[in-house]
Amino acid sequence: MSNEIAPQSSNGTDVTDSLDEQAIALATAKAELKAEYKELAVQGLWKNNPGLVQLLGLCPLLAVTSTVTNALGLGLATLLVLVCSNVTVSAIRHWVPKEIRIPIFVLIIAAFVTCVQLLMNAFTYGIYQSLGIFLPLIVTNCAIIGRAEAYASKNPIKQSAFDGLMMGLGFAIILLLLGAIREILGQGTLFDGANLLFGEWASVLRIEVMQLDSQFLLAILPPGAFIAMGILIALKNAIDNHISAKKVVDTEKVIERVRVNFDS
Amino acid sequence: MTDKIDSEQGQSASDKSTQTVDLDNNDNTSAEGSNSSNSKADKSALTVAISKNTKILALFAIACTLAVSLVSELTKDRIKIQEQQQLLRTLHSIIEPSRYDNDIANDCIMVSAPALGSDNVKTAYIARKTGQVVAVAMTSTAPRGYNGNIDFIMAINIDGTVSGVRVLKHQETPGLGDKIEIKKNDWINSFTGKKILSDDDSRWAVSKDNGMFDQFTGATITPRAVVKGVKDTLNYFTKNKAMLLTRPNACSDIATKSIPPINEAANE
Repeated sequence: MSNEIAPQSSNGTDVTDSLDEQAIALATAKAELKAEYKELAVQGLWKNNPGLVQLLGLCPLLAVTSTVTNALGLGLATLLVLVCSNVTVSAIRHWVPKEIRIPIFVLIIAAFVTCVQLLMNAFTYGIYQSLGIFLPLIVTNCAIIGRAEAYASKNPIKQSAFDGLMMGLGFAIILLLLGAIREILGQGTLFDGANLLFGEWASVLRIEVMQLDSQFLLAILPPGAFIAMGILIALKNAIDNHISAKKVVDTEKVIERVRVNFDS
Repeated sequence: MTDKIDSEQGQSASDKSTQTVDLDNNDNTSAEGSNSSNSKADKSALTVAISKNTKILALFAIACTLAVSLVSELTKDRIKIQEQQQLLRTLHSIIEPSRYDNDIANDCIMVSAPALGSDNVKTAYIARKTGQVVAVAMTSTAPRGYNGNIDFIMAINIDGTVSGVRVLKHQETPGLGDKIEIKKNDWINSFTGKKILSDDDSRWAVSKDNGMFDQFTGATITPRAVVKGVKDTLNYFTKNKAMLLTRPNACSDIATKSIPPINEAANE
């Protein structure tokens, strides 16, 4: 993930000095588009990550991440819904009056979630059962309607699809990380029950990371999810601070800290 | 999925056409124009906007419903097969498939009794070999789990011994009480082959209560509830065996042709 941070400072588009005007215009347009895609990727995966920064969709995030398989199942389902809803919302953005856009977005998202739920029920029955109520609850994941409203309703289809993809990936990565942390600590395995998601061949994916005599309950139960999530957020902030600290070394910028004391 | 997007876009295109018709306020020939655009002056802009928005919203609702019902229609059979296979897998794990030769998933009776833990109607699947009843797989509920009801299915041989028990649904503590799942622990197999000797067989309890079943470290309530549930169900069956087995088949009508032969799922 850390390699996503580096390119954000080098958005330079002034390489086209020597070309004639038309080419310049074309090139800038291209560069702008490229910069926008890059920005979308950075936003979705890091700066504005739905899990770590926006803190949206915490309910499924915390509830189903007890194993990597569950996390992957929900991550993929959310990703699919997010891309589809972004594309649809973007495609119809000129025809939807702004007064009724929210009900229409909700309709579209609900329809996609129901379709995904039916498809998962039909083709990945095991994971459908272990995700339980959290699959239909994707409808209430604010990250999805948030993206529809904030980005897809104002931008062309391609960019919206890419935005959905990146936001979905950002969410899925956090789900996977949490799932991996909790599964290793709780059960000492990785990809336990992957056959539920991918079919029988995937049983070989199961990795016994360490042998635990008894399960580490805290990691499996919801409080463990909160704690792991907190640590992940702290880690992200620490990396961000580290980067910005590196940046200001030259400019000698002083960071002022305010500490609230009860006796002051 | 792509079908859905296409239909959505098609729908949007038609939205556009209705919208422009409404906005132009011309003499329109569209079938939907009756309530909005014929009289120009006396209709306020608000009414026009409301009716236009209502129509658009209704069109979207119809489009979404169509898309969902299409997917539902396409996946219906497959979901039914999946559920049936799941049921067969469970049944096969508690009754050896070689012991019966009937279509067990479609041979069942409905049972409702307080002894089975809850007021819900339970299903009991009947395994027969050449017409003779070999075993009965009863769904039942153990009411006093640590965290609510524990639903299980148990197969009882015709001689009253337990052929197998599987927990279907529970909310017990992960890591402690969830050892009643076969995935986590083989404790549930300790019922296999056991028999109830009298109405109040004191061996049917966890070892803490001087019974013959182990409890788990850190979880006694869960196994206690399961043992009690299994015991009650077994008692109920042995007492009402004659009455239960003469009931007519309640599942035969549900049978669909698309269900694969039983031995296909048997290699699980």
